[in-house]
Amino acid sequence: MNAPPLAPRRLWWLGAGFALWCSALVVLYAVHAIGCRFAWASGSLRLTLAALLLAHMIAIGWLWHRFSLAMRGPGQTPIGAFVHAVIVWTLVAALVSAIIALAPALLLTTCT
Amino acid sequence: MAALALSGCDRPLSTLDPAGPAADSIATLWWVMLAGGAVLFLLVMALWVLVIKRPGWGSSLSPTRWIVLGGLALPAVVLLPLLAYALIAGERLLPLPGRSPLQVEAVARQWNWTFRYPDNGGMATNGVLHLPADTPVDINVTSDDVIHAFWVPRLAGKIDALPGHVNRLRIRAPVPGRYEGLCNEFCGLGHANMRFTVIVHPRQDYAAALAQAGTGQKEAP
Repeated sequence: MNAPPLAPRRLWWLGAGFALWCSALVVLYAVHAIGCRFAWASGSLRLTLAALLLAHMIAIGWLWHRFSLAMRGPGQTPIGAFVHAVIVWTLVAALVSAIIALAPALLLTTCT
Repeated sequence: MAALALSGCDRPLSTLDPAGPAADSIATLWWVMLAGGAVLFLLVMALWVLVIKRPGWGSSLSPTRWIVLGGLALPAVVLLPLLAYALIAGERLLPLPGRSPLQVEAVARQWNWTFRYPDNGGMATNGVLHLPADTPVDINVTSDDVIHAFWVPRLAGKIDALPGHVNRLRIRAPVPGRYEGLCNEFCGLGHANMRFTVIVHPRQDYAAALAQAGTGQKEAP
């Protein structure tokens, strides 16, 4: 029996970027709600939210960098190369959409 | 068909017939988003007609360039300004501190609304919200049981009524009159009939009208 052209566990990486995106959304919402409920100072709450978003963006960016470097390696099957390219572009999409969807809210009023 | 659809835009619960600055801002946002969506739709339809009428049109562009220009650049040009406009409009609707307008408490329970007026001696009314005209009022919304939502479409956006938590919505109704409000979060079998009326009085008549409406409904502090 031939070996599969792609290790099945590699498919999990397709969801890595947007799993981190979801994590950023949930964490930012939760910390925002906790900060407002306990009346944290506006400046420190905004900084905490910015740091959490930055940490998620660094994590996505690190994965992007890691997969971009691995793409140059030899010996990939056509399916493996295709999946690899999709993973890289999914990470790019997750990074850009995290910036567009989550960053502008940091400029708005934190609590009312 | 369009006339039939548009006839729904001129009713007491229509967001497209705003009667206050907050609802006006939301209605404007809706029209701006409609215009943005229409621009995108017309651009895509124009490309589609060109491709059908002139076979081979656009083949000089590579598929990658089509994806980047049509799938990323074109939506970004329309959606990013819409995002900025929506954020600015939302910021202007916030009940920011700095002033202390009139306070009214709105308490939801299955399936009716009670309104209390702490600035008017703790008066309370059931099913009818009394407001002074052309005066900012903070509605402090909460719930006694499940999650509801407070919404007067012609005056402002909606806000959730949560048990154990108070959400604040600022309303200003420039023109005296009657407006309709409703619960906008499914809250059980009686949800569809969980409505209330908003009566906006001329400012000088407000105290007397509220005293008359609240007779016999004053609550113990």
